[in-house]
Amino acid sequence: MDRRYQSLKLRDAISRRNDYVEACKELQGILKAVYKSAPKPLQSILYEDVVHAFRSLPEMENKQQLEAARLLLQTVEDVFPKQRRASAALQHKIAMITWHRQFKYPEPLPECSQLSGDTLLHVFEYLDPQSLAIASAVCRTWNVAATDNALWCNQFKSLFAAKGSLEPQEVPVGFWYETFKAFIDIKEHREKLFFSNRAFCSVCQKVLWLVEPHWKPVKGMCVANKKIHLPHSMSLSQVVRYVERSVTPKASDYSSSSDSDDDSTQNSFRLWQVRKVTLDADRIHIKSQPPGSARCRYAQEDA
Amino acid sequence: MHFQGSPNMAEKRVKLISSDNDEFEVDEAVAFESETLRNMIQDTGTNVPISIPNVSSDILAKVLEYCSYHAETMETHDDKPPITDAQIREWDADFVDVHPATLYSLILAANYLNIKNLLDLICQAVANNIRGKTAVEIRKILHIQDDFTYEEEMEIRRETKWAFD
Repeated sequence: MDRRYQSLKLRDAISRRNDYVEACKELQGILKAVYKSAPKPLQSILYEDVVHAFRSLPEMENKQQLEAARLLLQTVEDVFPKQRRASAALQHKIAMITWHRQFKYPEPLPECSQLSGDTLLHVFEYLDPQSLAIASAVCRTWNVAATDNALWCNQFKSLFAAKGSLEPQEVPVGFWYETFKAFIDIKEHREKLFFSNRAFCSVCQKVLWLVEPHWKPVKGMCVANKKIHLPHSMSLSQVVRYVERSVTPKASDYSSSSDSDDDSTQNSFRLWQVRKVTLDADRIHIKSQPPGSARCRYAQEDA
Repeated sequence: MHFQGSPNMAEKRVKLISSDNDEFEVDEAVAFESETLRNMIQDTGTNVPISIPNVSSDILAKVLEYCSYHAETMETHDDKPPITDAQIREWDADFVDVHPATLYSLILAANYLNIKNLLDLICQAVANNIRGKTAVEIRKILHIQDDFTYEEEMEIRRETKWAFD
């Protein structure tokens, strides 16, 4: 359990502003689920991570992050023993004071001139579909840039076109945004979007953070050993269950049973059969695999 | 002062003048990180100070800091171990860890001076800043006016509904 928790790399994620909220939620979920039954060393790691989360709070900038820390504090008050509870609460208090002091006198922002369309496009190249959609709702200039045809062409290709499920010539000129939206309306396509920053790569057997820039240019690819894998997105509860290991791989062709130290296999299917996507165009089936089987299966029916 | 014979002084110096009339002097190699400056220097030589009318001193200093570090990473010293990619990435990450407004000014400067790597770096940093925020938060941070009409706003909400489910 200890090792699995460490492999989540929560501490690093807490230091990253973009992953802070999610990391806090995960930490919260894990605390609730396993703290009381966890071995002593893991308990103290969990405690240190909570303290680290509160200490990083003054560097955070928006309400969501504050809220995440507040919720974390509530959980902490439920699960920690008295002494740790008190010192964690103190850390949170100090962090909040620092945070408020900092924002009471916000540094005056220099009036920044609007970025030109070209520069905005350059910035937007680094965004994922959701953020891009949000950016299109900021103002008119942003809207024009964020609905740019070439941008959505790339987004589309990186999400759906494993091997060109739709050829470029099939899309009328200038309609990539519309095509993308039409595709995303289909439910199983929507699963391809990463709603969280977490993913499980069944090839590497790892839970990953989808952090730029390792993930550039395509968010949602695991690039290890010079090969590109397609990890599955993971929800918060799945991450928690991964640590708990109330989930163990089903009978699998690769024996990775060395780390499956728990025994409850009953509800494992709920976690690992998340996705069963069929890309019709080239008949590649990417089936979600139990963690033991160690590879995505590419069943090429033509072959 | 003429030390042209000495190999250490063979490096030419370039004078740059910011929008608020501060003077900066850098090695030619540092200035060459910028495509715009490279062209100017090739046209006019290093004797004439180059004025950069739309970049202020603090931003220019920051840009030159980037340029000198990256010019340095290109050089190979026999006595020092070469700077690794990981070290460069770490340095870059520290470099862009500044206020969003500074990033904004840096983009404009990098754009004008045509320093491709710097522009990539900062655009990515700005994107990281935007990601995960709501439209309202973005407007607030970057001082952007909401110039949509009510109808347009509704239309966009409808169009981007998929992103919020």
